[in-house]
Amino acid sequence: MKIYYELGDALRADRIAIEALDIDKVLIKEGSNRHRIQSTTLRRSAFCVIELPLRAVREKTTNKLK
Amino acid sequence: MAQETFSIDMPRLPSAEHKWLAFKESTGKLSQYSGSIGFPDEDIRQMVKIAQVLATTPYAWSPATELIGNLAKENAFLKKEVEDIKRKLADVERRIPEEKVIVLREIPREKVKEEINQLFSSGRRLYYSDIAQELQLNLQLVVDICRELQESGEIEVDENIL
Repeated sequence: MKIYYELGDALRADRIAIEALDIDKVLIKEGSNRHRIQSTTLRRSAFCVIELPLRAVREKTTNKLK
Repeated sequence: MAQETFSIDMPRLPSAEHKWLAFKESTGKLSQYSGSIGFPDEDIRQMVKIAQVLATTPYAWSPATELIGNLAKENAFLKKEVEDIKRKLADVERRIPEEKVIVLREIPREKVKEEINQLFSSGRRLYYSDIAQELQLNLQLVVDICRELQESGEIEVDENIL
């Protein structure tokens, strides 16, 4: 399992599971085109894992399998 | 005939500085409250004495009656505010998400593998977080064990979601 520890490492996916000792209250932000974005911060021993990759990644994987 | 006079030993009336709700302008907004903290206990006791005196005299003493009338009005206003606050509090409590506590188990790795296999044997499609929650295990451990089971061919990624 690849785990990333460096400052600035990021994940992008359709579903990410998280665990941490502290999780801040969820904030609602309004993005461009009035999309509502929810955001929060995980603190202390935070761990995140991709459970469902982005559709483009999934399609790429399916094509590879074919 | 000499006119009968009555003298009543009236108790001290509450301070005129007390902010009467009835005399305040209404803001018309539900979110703003009067700021009244109600009458001090001592003033309530004095007003009870006034009421007792009035009950025993044949003549109504106009300012005292007015005072008690205002007390009744203020009580009604405060009751309304209390009902309003109770309603809003109930609303806020409804919106607070329920906090569910799961006590994580610390069990040997082999036992974890066994339990995860058993969970999958039902044919369900499960995410890492589903397994972690159902088996009350640490998420990172679940991911690690699932990788091992995948490598050994005991479980596989559902192609249908790809």
